[in-house]
Amino acid sequence: MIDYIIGAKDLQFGYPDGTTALRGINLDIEKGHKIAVLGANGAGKSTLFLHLNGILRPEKGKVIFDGKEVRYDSRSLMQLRRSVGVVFQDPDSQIFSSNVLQEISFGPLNLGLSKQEVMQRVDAAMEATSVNEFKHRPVHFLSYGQKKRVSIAGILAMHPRVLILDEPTAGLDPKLIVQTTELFDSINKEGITIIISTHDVDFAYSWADRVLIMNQGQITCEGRPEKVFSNQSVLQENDLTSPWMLDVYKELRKKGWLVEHVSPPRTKDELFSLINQAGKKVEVPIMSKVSAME
Amino acid sequence: MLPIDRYAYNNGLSTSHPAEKFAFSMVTLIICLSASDMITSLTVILTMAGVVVIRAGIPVGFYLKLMIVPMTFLVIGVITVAVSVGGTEAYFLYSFTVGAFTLGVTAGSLILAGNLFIKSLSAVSCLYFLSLTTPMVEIILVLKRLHVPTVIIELMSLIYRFIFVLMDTAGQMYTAQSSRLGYSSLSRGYSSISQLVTNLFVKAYRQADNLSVTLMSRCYKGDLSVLEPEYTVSKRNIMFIGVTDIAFIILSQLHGGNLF
Repeated sequence: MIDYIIGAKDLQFGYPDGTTALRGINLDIEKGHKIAVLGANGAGKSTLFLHLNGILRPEKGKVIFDGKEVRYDSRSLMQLRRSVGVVFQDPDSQIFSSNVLQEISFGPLNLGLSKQEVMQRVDAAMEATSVNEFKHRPVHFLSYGQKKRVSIAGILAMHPRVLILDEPTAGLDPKLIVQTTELFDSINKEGITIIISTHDVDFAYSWADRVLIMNQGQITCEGRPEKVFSNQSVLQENDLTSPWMLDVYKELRKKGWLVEHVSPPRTKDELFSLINQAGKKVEVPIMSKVSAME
Repeated sequence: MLPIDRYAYNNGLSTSHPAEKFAFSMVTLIICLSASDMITSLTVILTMAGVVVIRAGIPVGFYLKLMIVPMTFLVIGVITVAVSVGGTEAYFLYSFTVGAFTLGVTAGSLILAGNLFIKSLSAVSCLYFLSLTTPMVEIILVLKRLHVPTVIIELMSLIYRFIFVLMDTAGQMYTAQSSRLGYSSLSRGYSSISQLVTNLFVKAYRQADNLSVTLMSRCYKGDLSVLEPEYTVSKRNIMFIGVTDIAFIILSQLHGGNLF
């Protein structure tokens, strides 16, 4: 049986100003998966995230966490919020303290842990996000990327079971993008489910286990990245482009340089090894090449 | 204002216990206010300048500039004390007559004004010591230990944090406006600045909204409890504070102070 950690049934929500943000969201997210949520600005990604964390209450439908319907009394909400952590897009709207240590300790202290336990968690979170090197500097002297890492550490220290990040790589330089992606992977290895919203199709394609596409308050497509991104009509309807890696793969296929039944590469290394295999195609007999690929 | 903040985090005394710095500044301030002679005040000014420049390593030029800032207010304030109206010319040390009034200074009023001037400056130097060596976060920490109400503590730390966010936002808006010639003439400048302020208000309002959402999502229960960093108490510093302040008290008593 598949173990779902978080999901939604027919979730509907409209803002007081009349805009309908969610129009019947159905969602099931498997424990330990890496999910990328794509969609234009205003598609409802952030609104969905706020529902998963219990900040917004659906007009209709329900949020399901760990097999149980989420209830909205303060006790259940605390329970949900300690298990589902959200890192917001703008670190300046999340960081309330000028002191890095104080900022990161806020979440775990709210969980009613002992000071010692909190200190351990804060240290571990600072270590994981490489915040240590600037922990003594006040927040207003930090760069955008550093503040982003502090805001991630603040959530990590709460030890959530689901980590939601709203466009975590926006505004980061390439080196930091690689670092934070590695961080997400190492967090994920510890069994934490990660949900990330992004506009970067290349990142979503190579990083995610599953991709969700949202459009005007609905999930229009959901599935494995290579499947979702191969569907031209889905991409067109949702104003998305195809990941470059998939384009290269298709071009190689079209030219007949790749053997049939090879699944599309997910990372650059996989692509290069495919190309290398293709280069050897002339000398190497078919059989050994197929086995080499597996 | 910003350079002060920068020095507060980065000076020769930044690792010292904030309570030590707070105590030194406040006790000396009280002595200054109760002392009634120039010698104590001058000694305090020189001591504070010495500690700030030598011990904390704040550049002399910057410190002198800071000391000049309150000068304008002080001079204006002191003039009103020194100059008195009325009486005959013989009563004044120096005087001149405007219509029916005679304005002038007496020896007593001059001394009083000079005293007041130096006294105010010495009080200012005590506060400068605190603000140049102790970051706001640590001052708030000390106030918390002194059981200042939580509401005030939390407001102080939120205001301090968001001063910088607000200034950043205002700076970005200003750059964006001036890059489109928003400040090319006086009238345009006025209209631009009014738009900037309006926008800033709306943004600040939204920021407050966002903050309450992000705090709630982190299990906010009504108070901003955070871990406090540990500081080590230095016996040497406490000795220094004790000896210096006792010396100040003795000095002011010798010159007719009324501390006790």
